[in-house]
Amino acid sequence: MEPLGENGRSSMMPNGLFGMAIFIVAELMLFAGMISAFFIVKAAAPSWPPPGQPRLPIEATALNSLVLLASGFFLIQAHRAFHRGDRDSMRRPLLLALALGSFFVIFQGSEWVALLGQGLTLTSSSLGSFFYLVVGVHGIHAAAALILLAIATVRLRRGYLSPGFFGAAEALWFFVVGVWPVLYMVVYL
Amino acid sequence: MLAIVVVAGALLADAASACTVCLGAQTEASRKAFVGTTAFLTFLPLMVVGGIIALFVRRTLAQEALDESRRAGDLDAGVESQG
Repeated sequence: MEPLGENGRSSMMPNGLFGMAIFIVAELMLFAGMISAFFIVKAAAPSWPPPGQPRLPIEATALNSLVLLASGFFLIQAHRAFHRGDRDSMRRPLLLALALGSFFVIFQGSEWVALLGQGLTLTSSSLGSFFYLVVGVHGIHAAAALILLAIATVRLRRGYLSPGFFGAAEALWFFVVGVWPVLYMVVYL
Repeated sequence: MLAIVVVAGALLADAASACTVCLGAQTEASRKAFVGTTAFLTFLPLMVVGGIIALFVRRTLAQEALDESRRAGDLDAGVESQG
């Protein structure tokens, strides 16, 4: 338990988690802006999806979304073990969350390669522009969160994983997992 | 002189086509999208800020209660060690 400070009080939240929370709020508004722009462009288009553009892989991405949600589930398990002080039980779910998250990002990358091959590019249509913008920004966040989780895994193994660092890493990953179903429904469906 | 400038300005002025909801939307679907996204972008930050304030209040109250019990525990331990 954290010791009481000079004023007889302990801190409400680790600084790392607090900083990440502020960042996530800003990023939430970024995604909200992109979703809004997407809705307006979609509503103004004479037909949607634009003619001559490939169909987005709805089913495959739905399965990949389940992989991402499973990753979030394992991170919850790791979170619970961390707050119980059971660092040994935390290792496996944290590794599973990291592995499933990495699978999600790699699968998304392979999906992009296939779509580029079928003619969906940033400049081919407004669908292509928004698809790569929205999904790409999400992918960058996912990659950044995975790097933080990987560092957390290393720190756990070495025995100096702090609540602030782990809190920040898991908050970013939960944001990535939480915002994805919304993006999927908006962009793919 | 100032009056002439004001009158000239008033005569030269034209309606500004700045409102995207009124002037930018060409179809009913576009107009609805503009109105919907304006509402979404207006209320989302308010809900987020409200949620954060509620979370802070809840966590602060819980932390205060915990700290209070710990201080009371320290006090009791101190009295026992003196006794």
